[in-house]
Amino acid sequence: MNRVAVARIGPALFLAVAILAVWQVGVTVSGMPQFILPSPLAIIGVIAGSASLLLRNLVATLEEFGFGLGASILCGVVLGVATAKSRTFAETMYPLLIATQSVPKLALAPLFTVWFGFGLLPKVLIAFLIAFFPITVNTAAGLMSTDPDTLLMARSMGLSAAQRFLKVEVPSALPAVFAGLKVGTAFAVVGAVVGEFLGADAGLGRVTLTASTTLDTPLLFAALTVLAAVGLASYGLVATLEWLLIPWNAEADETATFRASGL
Amino acid sequence: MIDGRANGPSTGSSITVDHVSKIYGTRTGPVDALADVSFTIRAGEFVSLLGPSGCGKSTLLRIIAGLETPTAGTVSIGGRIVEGPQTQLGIVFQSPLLLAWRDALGNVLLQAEARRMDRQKAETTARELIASVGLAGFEHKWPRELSGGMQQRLAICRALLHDPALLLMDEPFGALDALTRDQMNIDLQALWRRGEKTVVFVTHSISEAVFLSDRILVMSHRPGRVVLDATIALARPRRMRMRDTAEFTAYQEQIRTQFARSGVLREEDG
Repeated sequence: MNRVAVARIGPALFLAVAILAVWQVGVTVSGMPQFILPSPLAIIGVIAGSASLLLRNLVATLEEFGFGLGASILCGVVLGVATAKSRTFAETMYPLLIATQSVPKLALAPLFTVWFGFGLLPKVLIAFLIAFFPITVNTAAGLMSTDPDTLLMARSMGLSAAQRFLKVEVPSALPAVFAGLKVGTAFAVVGAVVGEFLGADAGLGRVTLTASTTLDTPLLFAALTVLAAVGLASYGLVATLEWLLIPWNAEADETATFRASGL
Repeated sequence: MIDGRANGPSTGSSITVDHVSKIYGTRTGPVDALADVSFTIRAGEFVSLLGPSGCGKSTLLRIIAGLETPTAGTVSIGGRIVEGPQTQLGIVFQSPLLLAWRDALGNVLLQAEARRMDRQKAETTARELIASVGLAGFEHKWPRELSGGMQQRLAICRALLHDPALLLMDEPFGALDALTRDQMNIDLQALWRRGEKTVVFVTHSISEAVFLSDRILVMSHRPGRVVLDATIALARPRRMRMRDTAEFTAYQEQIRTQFARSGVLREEDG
C-alpha cells in the first residue's frame, strides 16, 4: 500500500515542487514587489511568522466547515434516499431543491448576517446550502442506478424490500455517494469562506479579506495556502474513508467525481 | 442439510404448465410472447427448453418462477398454483449477478440470509458446494478476481445452498467460451445426478440440450409454442465423446429438422 501511495502522489508532488521552483525563481529574478506577487519563500515566512494568527482563524473556519459539512452529509444523504425511494418526494420536493441551487449564496449571506448575526451560524448555513446538493444528487443517482437484474435476482431469492435496500442498493450506491461527498466537502470549504467574506469576526476568509484591503499580499497568500491545505486534507480524508469502506473497487473512480461536480 | 422445500417429502418438484399465454404491451403495440403452452414435467426430470432467441423460453422460465404472471393459463409446482415469486426454488440467470462487495463465500451465503438459515450449517454447506464446483480456496476472492465461468459456478452454488427441489437455469452458460461451457455441462450433470432435483434448463444450443436432458421441449419462433417434445434416451452418465455417436447425432438431426420445418434454421438447397 505504501509503495502504491507514493506512486500516486509522486507525480503531483513533483509538479507542485516544479511550479513552486519556477515561481520562486521568476519572482526573485524579475524583482517583483511583494504586494503584487510574493515568492513562495516569503509566503512560508509569513506562515511561520503569523502562525498563531493563522491557527486561530483556521480553527474558526474549520468549525464552520465541520458543522456545515456534517449537516449537509446528514441532510444530503437523507434527501438522496427519499428522492430515490419515493416517487412522491421526487416529484414534489426535488424540483424545489433544484430551485434553491440557482440562488447565489453570496446574495443570501448579508441577509443571514442580519438574521443570525456575525457568529458561527450564518457561515454554517451557507456551507450547508452549497454542500448538500451534490451529496443529494449523487446519493439518489447511485441508488437509482442499481442493476435491475441484480435486484430481480434478489427478489427471486425472497429478500424483502428492506433487505434488498440494505444488502444490494446501498452497497452498490456507495461509490456514487462518495463521489458526492468529495464534491460536497470541497464546496463546504468554499461556503464557509464565502460566508466570512460578508460579515465575520474570525476565520481564514476574514483574514484574506483584511489582507487584500490592506494590500498585505504575502498574508493573503499565506491564508489561501492554508485554505488549500484544508481542502486537500479534507479530500484526502474522504478518499481514505472511501478506500476503507469500498475495498472491492480496484481503484477509486476519479472520473465519477468529475461527473458528480456537475462541471 | 436444511430442507428449504415447500413441497414436503417428495424429492424434486413436478411442474404443470397449463395453457399458458403471455402478451406484452409495448410502445409499438401488443407482443405475443407465448401462445398456449402446455406440458408436464415429472419430479426429478432434467428438461430443456430449446428454441431460437426471442421465442419466449426465458419468459416461460420467469413465469414458472413466479417472477412474471401469465396473461392466460396457470403454472403449478408440486400441485400448488404459482402466485408470486417462488422463493423455494433455485434460479441461475444468464449472468452470474454476484454482488461485487461480497467475497465468494458471502455471495453464496446471501441465499441463507434470505431464508434465515442457521448460519453455521449454511456456511458448512456453502463451503462444501464451493469445493464441489472446484473453487476450494477461492472463498475469499472478490467476484472481479474470478473468471466468468468461476462466477457462474458460484451462482450455481448460491442457487443450491438451500437444497431446492427445483432448479431453473436461464441460458447459464451462454456467455462462456466453448471449452468452459463443455466443462460446465459435465459438472452440471454430475451435480444433478448427486441429488434428485428437477431441472428446467433454457438453452439455444441443440447439442447442449441433448447432452444434458431427459426431455427437450423444442419451441418455435415468437409467439412461442412447444412444437416437439423429444425424449432423450441416452444412457447416463453421458460423456463428451457420446456427442460423436450415431444416437446423439440422430437426436440433433431430429431437432434440426424440426427447426428447419418451423423456419428457425434456413439453408440453401443444393
